Amino acid sequence: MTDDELLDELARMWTDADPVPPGLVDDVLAGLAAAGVGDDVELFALLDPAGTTVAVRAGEPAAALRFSRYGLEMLVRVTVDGDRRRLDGWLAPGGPGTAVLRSGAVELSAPIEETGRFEFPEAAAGSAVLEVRLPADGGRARRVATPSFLL
Amino acid sequence: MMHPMTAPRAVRPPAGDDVWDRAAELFTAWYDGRPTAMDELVRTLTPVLWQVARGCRLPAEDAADVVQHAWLALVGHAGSIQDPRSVGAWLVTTVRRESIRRTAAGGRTVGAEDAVLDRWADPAPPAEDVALAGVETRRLWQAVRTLSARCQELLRVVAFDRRPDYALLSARLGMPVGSIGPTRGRCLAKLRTALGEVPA
Repeated sequence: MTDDELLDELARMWTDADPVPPGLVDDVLAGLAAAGVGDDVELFALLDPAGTTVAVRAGEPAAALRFSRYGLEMLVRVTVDGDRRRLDGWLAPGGPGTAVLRSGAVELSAPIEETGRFEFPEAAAGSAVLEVRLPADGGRARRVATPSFLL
Repeated sequence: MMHPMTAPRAVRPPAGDDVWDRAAELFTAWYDGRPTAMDELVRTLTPVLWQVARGCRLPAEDAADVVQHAWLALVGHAGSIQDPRSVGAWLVTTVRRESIRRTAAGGRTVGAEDAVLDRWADPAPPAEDVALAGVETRRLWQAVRTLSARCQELLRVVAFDRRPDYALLSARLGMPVGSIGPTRGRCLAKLRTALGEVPA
């Protein structure tokens, strides 16, 4: 057996032993759909309290999430009320602009005030993507979306 | 911002050599306005990207996350990919870079000794939990498990990417770039020896 053949066998073995999780492809497709494939959408990175980029984890909804993307910072606080979620957000620098919250087929939008404040008082629990749309203000218009996170 | 590219043909999934050609076709079709081509592209390459992330000893949850991010990044950078044939390599490189960054950020010592590597949470399920089809595959699995953690990691990377970025691997495995090739050879030789010792 040549080295390449042996490595082919190893690749097959690892594919059998540690296969891709069944839901991953669907999660990727859902994430792409939510982020608006084909549009020029930038992606926020999630920061931990020390300001380091971290992974968005599946599991319990986080009480507060901090995101950043070139020149923008966003704090999102989630309050759980049964199966409803209240989402309070602060964007810096502030608005005007529009915040759009997508979870599944449902899309909610809320204005971003000049102070950067926005809110979704009645969001559904589950996986969601939050996008901010900022109009061209001397520069170009921007659309920046978070990775999907759990509400 | 494009990462330096590994030649796409060096990245070899187990499913056959035409996967990267297929990926290039699908990416072109999607870029030319057929949205469903992206779905097919995701289905085609996600299993390979998963192996790349897991090969960096990333826990399952993080591996899934890194793969998702890579796809979102691809869509965000689609316009900067000049040659559709490089789309597979772009994704593999993006996944590996982020995986390595995360394992390093997780407090694990990059460049650790084998003994330290061995103490890391092993991302592969224990042998007894793996329902591997075929006697040969089970023999291979047993033989691989006798190798050092460093050998297992190196072989897993190389199995899915025949010409990986040696500079990235060097930092990751704590060995000079020049010794990766010889180490790969030694690991394969040890594997052949171990295979000879595992009862058929």
